[in-house]
Amino acid sequence: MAVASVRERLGANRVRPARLRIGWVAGGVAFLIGAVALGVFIGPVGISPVQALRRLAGLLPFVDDTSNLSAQHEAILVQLRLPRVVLAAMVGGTLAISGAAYQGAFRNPMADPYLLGAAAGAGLGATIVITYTSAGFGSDLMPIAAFVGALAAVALAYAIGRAGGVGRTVTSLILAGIAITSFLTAIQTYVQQRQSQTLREVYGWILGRLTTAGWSDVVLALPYMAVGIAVILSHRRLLDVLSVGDEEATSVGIRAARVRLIVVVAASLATAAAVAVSGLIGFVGLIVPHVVRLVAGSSYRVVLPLSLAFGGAFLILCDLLGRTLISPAELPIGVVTAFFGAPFFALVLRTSRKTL
Amino acid sequence: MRRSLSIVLLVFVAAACGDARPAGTPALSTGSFPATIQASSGSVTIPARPARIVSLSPTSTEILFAIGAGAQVIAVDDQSTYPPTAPKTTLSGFEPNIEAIASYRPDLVVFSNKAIAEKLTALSIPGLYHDAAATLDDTYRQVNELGTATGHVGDAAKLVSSMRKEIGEIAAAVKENEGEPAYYHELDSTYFSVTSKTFIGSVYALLGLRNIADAADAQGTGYPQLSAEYIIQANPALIFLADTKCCGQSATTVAKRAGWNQIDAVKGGHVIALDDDIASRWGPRIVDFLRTVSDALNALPSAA
Amino acid sequence: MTAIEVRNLSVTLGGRMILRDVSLAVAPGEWVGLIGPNGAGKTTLLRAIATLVPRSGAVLFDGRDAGVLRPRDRARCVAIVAQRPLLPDAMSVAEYVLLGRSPYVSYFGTETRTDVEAVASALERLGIEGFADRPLGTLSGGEQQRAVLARAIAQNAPTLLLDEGTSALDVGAQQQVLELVSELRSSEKLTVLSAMHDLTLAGQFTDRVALLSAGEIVARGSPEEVIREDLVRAHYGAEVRVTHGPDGIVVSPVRSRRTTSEEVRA
Repeated sequence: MAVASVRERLGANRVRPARLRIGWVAGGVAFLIGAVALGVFIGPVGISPVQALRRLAGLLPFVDDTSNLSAQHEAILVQLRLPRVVLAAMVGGTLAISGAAYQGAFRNPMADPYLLGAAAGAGLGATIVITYTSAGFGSDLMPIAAFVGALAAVALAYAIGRAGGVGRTVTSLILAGIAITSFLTAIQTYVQQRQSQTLREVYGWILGRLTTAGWSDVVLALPYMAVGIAVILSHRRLLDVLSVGDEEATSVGIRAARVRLIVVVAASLATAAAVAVSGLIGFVGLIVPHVVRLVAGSSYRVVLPLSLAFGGAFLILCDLLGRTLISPAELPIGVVTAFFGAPFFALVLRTSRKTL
Repeated sequence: MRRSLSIVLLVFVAAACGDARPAGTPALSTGSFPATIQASSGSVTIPARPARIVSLSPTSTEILFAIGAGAQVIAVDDQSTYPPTAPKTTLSGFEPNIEAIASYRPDLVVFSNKAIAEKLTALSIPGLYHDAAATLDDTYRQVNELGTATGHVGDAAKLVSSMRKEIGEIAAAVKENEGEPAYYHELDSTYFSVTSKTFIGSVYALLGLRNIADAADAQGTGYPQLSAEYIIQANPALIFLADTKCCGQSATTVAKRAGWNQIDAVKGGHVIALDDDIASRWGPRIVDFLRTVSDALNALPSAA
Repeated sequence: MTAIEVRNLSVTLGGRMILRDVSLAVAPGEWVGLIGPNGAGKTTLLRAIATLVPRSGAVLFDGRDAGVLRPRDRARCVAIVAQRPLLPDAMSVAEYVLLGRSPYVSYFGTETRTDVEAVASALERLGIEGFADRPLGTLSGGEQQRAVLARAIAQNAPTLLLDEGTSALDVGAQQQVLELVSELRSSEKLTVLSAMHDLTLAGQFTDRVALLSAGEIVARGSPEEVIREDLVRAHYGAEVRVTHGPDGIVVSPVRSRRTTSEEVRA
């Protein structure tokens, strides 16, 4: 009897499985929408926000287009800026959620989506295309080469890491990823050195760029990102279970290695698509999940969805900075994410009360 | 000291002899040796008519062959693609290997990378430093210097005067346009361009074209990077692609770029694919380049 | 029907044979203690029973072969409390205990009210309901240990494998936890197989004891039969005196010879 009344007194209120509270969802969405608005209205070419809003409204079905933009301004708004902002949101969200997924799958806070060599593989694929074929940026071959390169590197890392024995799977996977990354980067550097006249193009790609973004890039990357993200999100509870170690996760009935494989494949697929269209953008996949943890909590039910929203918003803002600071030239977006992201992260780290 | 004094004396005597010829006789078409050239980096003395010339600069290669010195050239660098008959080797003009160069036993090396100057002097190989031209006058000077250095003074002078004449004719034949048509010269697919301060930019200016990149060069490098928005806004009437060979760009790929189909040049089909090499060298083929540009300019519809 | 039956279990790890042809049977509701020196293979035996390491031989839960059970079903049969569990610092106690409900939550699903109540009940049982929202990193060693036990309880499995769960605790906390397990054994009808260092506690709490040495069970039976001075000397290499106290046997270490300070200096 005493037990029953205690339970009544407590209610189930004290026992709360981590839930993504509505407040955070609203905040994330609002932040994302705000970033989209800034990204669309601001740029090297001044376009009146009112006209821009009217034109965008006109894109919706059943709404008349009441804007009076010149043909050039309209082209800039609808064919250049809007897809670029959408792509930045997609890439940023993908990298952030993939980074969080990798951190959960490997129980390692230093993990990012490039842990198993996706970046090195994509970089090598792109370098080979730029250097040895006449196709360059904007060609159809580039994204494919980067995509295939990324996935091949991850598969190779997995094949090597799995051979490391059952008990050491996580560590041996990480080490295999490091080995693959070094190896492929070495080949890429050699190729670059031999053909130094294409150096600038290659570096432009490596540092990350959204400048070739058009709707075709969005359409190209969307299916892979959507599938990858959906699979990752559906495994958020399982990633929480994985955080107590493979053995203990197994003892409560989870096939740890299989969950890890599924999550890694999904995250790598989405990352490969992101890298294929935007080059190598660093920092987002590593830091955004940590910022989310510091402000909102460390359960993956919270971290995964919020990383998606905040990662997208973060990258839109970084892209905005990159294309306005030294306009009309553009800062490579990989430089911007690190340059502005690092101090921001330090600030959050100092002011947060939560432990990481 | 005595030796160089006597050489200088010899040159004066030769020149005096030249002046003493009756008018009407053509100047020595071969030139005399030893020849001294007052290059911008100092004076260079070539003791005898070179028969084993190594050229480490694609433009210099073109000039050498254009002035008739091709038979004296035994090796050119790996980027010297024109003329196709030039003896291309694996020598690099960017990262010159002095031993590889010396193995050809050259008696004259023409180069554009300053780093090698000292090493040539150390091996007592006459070297002529011809770096990138800033204006057409630089080009003419280089042609004349190479003529002197190889014993083709007359041929060099002929080349210079014919280039001047053709360029003048092309510029005069440009039709009247209201205002100056704007153009965009693309160096690579990351939208790097050139301003009118550069050699190629100054050549465009001869035809009265306005460069959209001039306003974007805040740092004055001469090679600003533009963005798609900027280019669309500037709405050039002509687009010249100098990245057809290196980066696979063409009128087709340009038309596919998001938002570019609103640019006048793209709408009217005035996107011209240049030969990367012709657009980046300052040799005799600059005339061909100018002809291509003027053809494009004349193809523009007259302003209403 | 035995709760746990182990037949001819052998485990080889890293090239070394850790367990050699081990056979053991635990009846439902029994508490069997596994004792033996360090490196004897006690932890490995528990992990092998939980199917966490590859093994040859058979392990049966209630007559069902553990090898053919799906991990979820296995987790509903046996819960294990590890020697050094990995406790994420930022996870709250309630979330951690909720992990124990994983065998009952569908793959893509989330916890139901039943699961939440099971967690509440487990927290109360171990007296840590006040810590439900506290991050694991802020708890003391004893509180953490109880959280781990709560997770095992929430798993609602009829068999509990305990691996030295109490050895890091002070004597009071040790006693509390073992008393708790004993209570749970009677109230939940648990079967317990625990690896233990402390021979006195082993004697006081268990029904039967198995002595594991160098990968083999060298003695099994009641605590009095197995915890004997000669066996301890032979397998632990220690000199002890076994006496019989009011609650069970008491094992006390004996110093047969004191090394004098003169002998040390000589």
